[in-house]
Amino acid sequence: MIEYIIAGFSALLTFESLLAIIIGLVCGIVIGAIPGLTADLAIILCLPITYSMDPVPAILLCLGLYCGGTYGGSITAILINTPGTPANAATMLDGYPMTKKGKAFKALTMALYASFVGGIISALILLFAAPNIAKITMHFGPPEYFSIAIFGLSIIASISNKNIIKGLIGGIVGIFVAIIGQDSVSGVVRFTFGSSKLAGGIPLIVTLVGLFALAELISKADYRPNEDMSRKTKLKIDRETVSFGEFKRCIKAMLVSTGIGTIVGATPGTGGGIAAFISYDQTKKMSKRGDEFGTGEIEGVAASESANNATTGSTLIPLLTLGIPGDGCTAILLGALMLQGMVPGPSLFKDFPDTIYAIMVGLLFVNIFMLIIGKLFTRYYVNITRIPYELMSAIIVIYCVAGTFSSEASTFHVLVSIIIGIVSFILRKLDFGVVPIILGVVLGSLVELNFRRSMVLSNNSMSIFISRPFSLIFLLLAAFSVVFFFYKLIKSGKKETT
Amino acid sequence: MKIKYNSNLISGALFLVVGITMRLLVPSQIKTYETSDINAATIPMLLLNMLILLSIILLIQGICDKAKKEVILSKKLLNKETLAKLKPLIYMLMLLAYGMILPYAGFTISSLLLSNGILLYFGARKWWFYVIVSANIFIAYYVFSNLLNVALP
Repeated sequence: MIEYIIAGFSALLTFESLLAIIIGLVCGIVIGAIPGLTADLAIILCLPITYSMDPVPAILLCLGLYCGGTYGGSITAILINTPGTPANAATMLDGYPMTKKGKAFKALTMALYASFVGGIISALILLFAAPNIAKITMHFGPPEYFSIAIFGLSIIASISNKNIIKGLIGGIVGIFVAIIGQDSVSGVVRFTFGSSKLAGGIPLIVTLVGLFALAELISKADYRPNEDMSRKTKLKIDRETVSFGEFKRCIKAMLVSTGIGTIVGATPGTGGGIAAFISYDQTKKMSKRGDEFGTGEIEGVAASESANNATTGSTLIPLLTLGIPGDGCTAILLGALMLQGMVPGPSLFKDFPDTIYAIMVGLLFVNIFMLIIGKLFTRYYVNITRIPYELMSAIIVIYCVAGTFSSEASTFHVLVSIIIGIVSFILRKLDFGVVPIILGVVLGSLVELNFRRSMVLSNNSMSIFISRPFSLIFLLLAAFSVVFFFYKLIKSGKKETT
Repeated sequence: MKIKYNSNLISGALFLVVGITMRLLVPSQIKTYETSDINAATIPMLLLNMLILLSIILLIQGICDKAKKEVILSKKLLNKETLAKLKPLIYMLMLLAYGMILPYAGFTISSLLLSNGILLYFGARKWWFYVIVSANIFIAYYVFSNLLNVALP
């Protein structure tokens, strides 16, 4: 393992990789700090650029955007009481009251330190835990891959809020998008409606841009610049920073929250937002100043920010070892790996050990650079929140189109992406989540391919899925995930009636 | 005329129609000559059957759910508030028009029209917004054509 870490270091320490980290972080922080624009969108916009890059800098660029976006969301949460990303909602609770007390710089600095602590510890856990899990998963065959993909799809239950039916329909829609085009086993074309341009299927980037980026832009089409309160208030950042005593007081909160964030992040179907709220609540209960939480207590900022950044490393554990994306952002990262010819899952550590170790070591560097960039530019962050949304909307559309076109050099695919965007917007209006759809898109073809391969291996006997221990375990986990959803639903129903 | 609806009702009906239509289209859209029990049509058929079943459940949920929005179809519906809700429709139409004219007008001209159109749509009054957005189109063209070797249309 040590030799792989050293090989990973040497693959990482190139000008291109380090530059990719810095660009990714800066863009991620800027996009994360603009309300409504998330790390997901930032990664999608940069995916076309990664085509022409080597795998290590390409994925590090995406990781820079992911970590930068998660941290950047805290800036608006603290300064204008609007979380840049859903993961930063808990940061508002004490961050904004600190700004109102004239301690914005202190809150931003604490958010930076906490993000660094959470991010670096979870990156270390990823580096040492993932290879050990991969040692077991390396021997998996088609039945295990099928069961893992089914487990991945079962996450739909935990992210479907109250209506699992809508989550399941979303998942089916996603799988259907994935199976359009030539069948990889028999070569038969499916649902192309006679168009030769669809024979190769709908490229992942076309789907992602439509589902996330264009749908997001359409859903914010009712934005009214004149009614945006954040543009009317003029913010100034003070100079009072975090004292040694305050930092020392927050250490316990940061470590506990990092632990919670790491565990929550490694559990598929959760995310930074849930981790931050659980950690905030726990820290509030543990702290001597628990009563002051919500009024501008620095421990509250430390707890929520270390927790949401701790998920950035741990969400990669199921992604890299099993190929299971835990949330929308990691589903897009899975897409980024696929575009580089690397299919996340059991075989990844066997087929691309140097690249994968370089990426894991790179995550440590991403967090170190994040601290440096944050220290240098915190006082200028207030300017990011002043970037007008209408300007961003008009610019993002252009890069979406250019990126979509670049995948197949076809204007037809640009139109397909726009149509997917409109359909995605309509589905959002009808209370459908976008994450089940994307899970269907990225896991759908894996489910079908490995199901059919397993059937060939077993002479069409379904018993192959329960006769192999790991396959059975993942199917049971999938069943547990669904049963747990209904248990929670019944429990919350009982609470409402009492 | 009164119409009562909720999102489950609409989604259930919508996906039921889509599911049945796609199910009927399977023989013409998946022409497989495989003789085995499991072939290229197996999973799509299974998914479509599930989609139809789930849509029916959703439709029943929608009918049983007492929480429904009520709309009275009359001329009063054409007020400012309702029209404001339809604003994203203009944005969608702009995108669709862009997708249609892109093959004929090329990236630069169609993107200039769209991005400046978006600024007008949001009511941007500062002239330098238009300059920044227009400059970005040329930057994107240069980056994709020269640095990423993607010849934009």
